[in-house]
Formats: sequence, structure tokens, C-alpha cells
Amino acid sequence: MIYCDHAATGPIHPVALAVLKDSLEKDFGNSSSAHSLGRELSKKLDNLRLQFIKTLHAKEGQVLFTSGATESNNLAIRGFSFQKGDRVLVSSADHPSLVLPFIHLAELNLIELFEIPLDSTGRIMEDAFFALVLKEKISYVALTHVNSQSGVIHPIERISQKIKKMNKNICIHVDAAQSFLKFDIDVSFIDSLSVSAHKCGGPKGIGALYIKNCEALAPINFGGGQEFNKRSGTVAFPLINSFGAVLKIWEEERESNLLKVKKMNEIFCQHLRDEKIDFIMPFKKGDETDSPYILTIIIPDISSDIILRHLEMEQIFISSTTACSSKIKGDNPVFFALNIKKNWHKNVLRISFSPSNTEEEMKMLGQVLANTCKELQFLIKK
Amino acid sequence: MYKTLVLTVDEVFLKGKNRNLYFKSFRSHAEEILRTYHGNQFQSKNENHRLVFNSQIEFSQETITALLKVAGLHSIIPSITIERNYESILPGVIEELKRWPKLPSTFKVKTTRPDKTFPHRSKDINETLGHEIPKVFPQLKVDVKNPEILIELKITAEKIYLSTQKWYGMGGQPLGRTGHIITLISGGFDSPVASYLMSKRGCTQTFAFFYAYPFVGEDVCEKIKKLCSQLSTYQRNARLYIIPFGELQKKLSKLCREEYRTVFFRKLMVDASNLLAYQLRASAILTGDSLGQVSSQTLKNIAAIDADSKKPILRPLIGYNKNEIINLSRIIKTHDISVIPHDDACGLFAPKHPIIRPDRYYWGQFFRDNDFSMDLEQCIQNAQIFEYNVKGEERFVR
Repeated sequence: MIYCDHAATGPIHPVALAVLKDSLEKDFGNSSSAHSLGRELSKKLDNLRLQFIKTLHAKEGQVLFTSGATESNNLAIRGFSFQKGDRVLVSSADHPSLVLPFIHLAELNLIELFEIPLDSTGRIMEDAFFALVLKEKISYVALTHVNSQSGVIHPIERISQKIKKMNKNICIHVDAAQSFLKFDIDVSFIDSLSVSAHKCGGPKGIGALYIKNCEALAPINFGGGQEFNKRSGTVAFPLINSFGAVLKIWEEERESNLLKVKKMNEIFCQHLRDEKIDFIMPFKKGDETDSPYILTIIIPDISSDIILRHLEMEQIFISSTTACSSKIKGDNPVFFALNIKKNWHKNVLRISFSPSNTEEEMKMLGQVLANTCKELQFLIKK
Repeated sequence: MYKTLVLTVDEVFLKGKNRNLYFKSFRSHAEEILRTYHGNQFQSKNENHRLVFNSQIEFSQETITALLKVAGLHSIIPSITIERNYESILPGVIEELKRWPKLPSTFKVKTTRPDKTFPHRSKDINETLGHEIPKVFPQLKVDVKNPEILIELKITAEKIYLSTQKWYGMGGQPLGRTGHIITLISGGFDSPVASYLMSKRGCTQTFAFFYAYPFVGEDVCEKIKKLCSQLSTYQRNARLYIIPFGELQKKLSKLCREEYRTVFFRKLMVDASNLLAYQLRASAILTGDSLGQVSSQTLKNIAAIDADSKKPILRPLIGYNKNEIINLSRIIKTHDISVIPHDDACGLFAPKHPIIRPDRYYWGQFFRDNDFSMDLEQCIQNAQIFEYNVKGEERFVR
């Protein structure tokens, strides 16, 4: 089996799995309990939290554990005290868990939405963007660090710094589900940021929210007052523990992983070129704004669904769009927002890599994809 | 509400010596419906080729609706029973008429008295009720020639049976009396309607779906299963064969002239259906073709396909317009399933200019040069099989 849909999710890292198994067995206590079992877990939890704080360059009391990036996005947005008429800048190219909470608030007539201007390669058009912030008196900006479809790395730190210079009261939220641990993140100019464990080798069901001003966040679920009273619910200690193990691994391997994945990405592309496959990379610029972890290609004239099923017959798994958009019948708003031509919407393939992939697998993937494309030439209507 | 149902059979008058066989099939089908929906607590009686069901428990609306799908059913007359004394008759009739959501304007009372010991004569009862009923329901008038409600009373030695309603079935021939057929099913409107029409004519069916994976996704199988589940409520334990066809379509596409693709697919589907028909001892193949609807449904293409088929191909929709088909699909409740969007392999493979008058020489030569019999055998062997009971509940067979 060759699995290259890591932007959707991926297998758990063996070390994280070992930690999880062990922790599920031994750390069954409730970190909120008053007895020694609880107190010990609570201490361990504090230490784990410190690791996350350090990785994000955050401060104490600024990291909450949640069930994943979707919950983190929802908590950050729905827990924010919007004033009626607040103007929010967001991109339809981003994940539904980032876009839909705003649409919900806009439908309640609480806020007004504005679209982040993107160029034809999925990059933020910065001049137009800052002009819009000024002109429309934007008070909240929602950014994505690495877009889950295009793989474009947005310069969140630079943009945030500039926004804060323009107006320090503008709130900035970042969805970092696709970039956390893969790239260094500095939250100095960011107000809130969402991360998830399962996109980088951790277990499913655990994530975190960085929040600069935790005091001001309104909880969206109430109960036992865990996570500084902002996210009630028994703390999933074994999952956090396993997430922590992943974090440690990435801290050591970040740079080597990046090089490894970059190389695999290139091997795959080169293979397609060598096989003379007619394909387009609408978002790849070949510079530091590409995340090598996500590659979107377009193979004109051949339906991506058919290619995916041919690959799946060979036990090769890639995708056409983000898993959260794959059930959409009809038009995919992400494709529109990313300026993919309408007649190519059915020809998009997304290949997302992980350091656990091998160069051999990339050659194989390139070969099978090339063969499939050649075999399906007969479907192209001349 | 009703503990007695009288089922009358359609077209029984056309039958001579076969009448008993005909009735037996009908009865066995209706009894299976009752066992499935109502349970075993009922008695069934043949009264002069009218099937009478009695039960201690009331028959539910769901049971009656299911019975109305029994092929060969002319109508169901539901009856209530009233105590066998003269004084109970009028209140019983009033009670029953109150159940009508909207009463029409004319009625007639018809009493029969198999038990002649009952002290009042049929004629007297008819007259008394004809006089009394309009006093309670002033909108009702007696019309002995064309009554809109026929109030029937049957006085037996134990009870009086009363009925005022009649629900019509789909008529036709009892299921199984006319043979077994292979129904080519797709996700569109036509083939489900064709299947229904042949259920009505008493054909038991095996559904065959040609599954073009990997050119279409698994969603389409779910859709086909939903259709078959609905169509199986007119059948008894019908089976669905999901026949893998994608690889063969790919192979064929590469070998033949592009403009022949669609019609050759159809020919291969008919060939595969012939194989399946042979295995299952089916007598014919059913398709939803309507003349000229698409390019493969021209008379020339139909003729070419028929010439290669050993089994007769039934096309009950040949003279139907699309609107007529869609209207029927609404009645048999397949419409809302057929409209669900699905991947369509035909559209995908469709040539820009499909052939409408095939060259018979090329046709013959192509299939002499390219033998697909092994591929077809393989397809049938690798088919997934599902079975549906009279409720449309699915069971995986293989």
C-alpha cells in the first residue's frame, strides 16, 4: 500500500502509538481528581503543556487542549466577543471549520465577511489585502498557515506583524493544522492559532488552541471547568501524552523531514515529466512559499475520480480535494476561491506526503499514475 | 380497524383450466406478504376465487399497502364485523361511513344472506338502510344504478360482514405465472419502470446491474440497491447481480471504432444477460429501451442487438414518452431514487458521434475477430449477489 493522503490524516507514528498504548493502560486517572493519582497526572499535564508553549513560542496559560483543529477553530471564533457589525476577513479557500463558523455568525447578522484576495497561484495578494483591511475597517482576520488544497505557505508572521502595526486591535486567528510541527511557528503577533495531532503522526481526537488572551475567551461548552474554565470535559491525558511524543520527534527531525519530503515531492514530479504526462501544477512556484508536504496537480481531460479509483485498485491512496470537501456534490468552493478554471475542477489531484513515505514509493506512485493516465487516453474526446 | 380482507383476482375470467394454478400463485404471494407484515395469525380461504383473509388482529395500513402490490390483484374489500342482530346493523354502518375522510353523494346498499335463518329479508334491510342513512348523512342519496359507495352486508350464521370501501390493486397476472426474466437495471428512470410493468404481467425477475468500476464510483451501487429494494416489493425474493464491467468496457473501447462503443457495450450486456439467463433458466431479457430515446435505441441498433441475442428481449417502454415514464416512476416511488445524481459510465465513454445505423459487416467481423466469451463468463462469476424480501430488505448472498 502506498498512502499519500497525509493532509487528510495519516498513520500514527510508532513511538506515539507506544506512548499512547502505555498511557491508556497506566494513566487512566482523572487529572482533575484530588487524590494523588490525579495530582500526578495534573503535574505531567503541566509539563506537556509547557512543551507546546515552548514550541509555539507562547507564554504560560496560553495553550488549551481540544479535540482537534476543528474544535480549536470553533472555540477561538465562537468564543470571541464579536461586536455587532464587526468586519471579518477570511478566505473561502480555507478549511470549512474555519469558514463556516464565520458564515454562521454572518447569518445571525452579527458580523460582515470579506474575502481575502488570492492570486492565480493561491498566494495572498498582499497589497490588495492590506488595502482592504484599511478600507473596510477590518477588525478580525482569519488566516491559514498552509492551505490544505494548494499547499501554499502563507507568511502569517509577516502579515500579522504588519496588521498589528496598522492597528493593534485587529484580532488575528490562524489555522495551522497543516503546518504545525512541520514548520516553525512564532505566535508573537497572533491572537489565536489552531493545531491538530493527527496530521503530523499523532493520534486522532486531540489538538490544541493557542490563545493570547485566554481570560477574554468565552467557553462554548460548560462543565467541570477544565482547561482554565474554557474547555470543560475530562482531559484526554493519554492522547495529549502521545501528541507530546510526536512533538518531541518533530522538534528533532523537522529540518531533515523537510528535506526528505521535498526530495520525494520532486522525484514524483520528475517521474511524471519523464513519462511525458501532460500535467499542470497551479500552485507550485519552486520557492520557499511551497509546502512540499502538499502537491496539487491537474491532469486535463481525465477525471480525477476515475484516476483515484484506478490507483485505489493498486492499493495507492491519494485524493482530489480535502477530505472535508470530498462529499460535496456539485461545485467545490475551495476550487473557485483558488482560481482553478471551472473546466478543470474535475481534474484536480492532491498528493500529500509524509516523512514516513519512501523514495521507492514515490517512483512507484509516479509510475502507476503515469501508466493510468496513458491507459485512459482513450477517454479523451478529441 | 379491519379484521377481514376480501381480495379479488384480475383477469381470472380469461383463464380456463388454468384457473386453479393461477389462483394458487396469487394466494401464495398474498400469504407471504401477510406472513411478513402481519405475522402468522390469520386464516385464508378461497371463496369462489375470491381470497378471504380473517384475523383476530386488525390488518395494518402498511399490510394493506403491501398487499396492493401483489401482481394480479384486482381489488381489496376490507370488512368489519358486526354482531349478528338486526339492531346492530344501522349503528355499524353509520360508524363505518364516518371513517370516510370525505363522503361522496350517492350510495347503494346490497345485502346477501347466506344464512337464511336471519329473520329479516335482504330486500327489507336494503330498503330500511336506504331510508335511514340519509337522515344521518344528508349529503348521501340512494342511486341503485351508479352508486359511488356500495355498502355491502353479508349475513352469515355467526356474524355480519360490512364493507363500504374498495382499494384497487395493479391488476395483471399473478407473480410467477408468466416466467422468469433478467432485468437490466440502471440508475435512470426507465429500467425501474420497465421492471414494474413486467412485475404486473407476472414475471419473476433477477436484476442485473453492469457496474463500470473504476470508471464509476461505489455510490452508484448504493443507488441501484435502493432501486432494487423498492422494485422488490413487487417481487418475491428477487436477486440483484452486480456484474463488474469496467475492465471489459476498457478492453472493448480500445479495440473497437469509437462510434461503436455505446452500442457494443449494450451488445455485451445483452450477451452477459443471455449467459445469466441460461444459468438461471430465465426465458427473456428485459430492458427499459424506448424507441429513439438515445442513439443505441434506434431501430437499426435494436435490430442488430436482437439478432445477436438468443433470448427474446422485452422492451415494454418502447412506445412510451419520457414524461409518461417519469409519471409512472412517481407512482411506483422510484422517481426520487432515480433523480439522485450518479456517475454515468455511458456518458463517459460516449463517442462524440455515436453510430445510429451500424455497419453489419463491421459488427459481425469485429465479434468474430474478438471473442469476449471468457471475459463475460468471468464477469458473471465475479458478480456480487444480493437478495431482497417482499419488504425490500437486503441480504448479501455472495
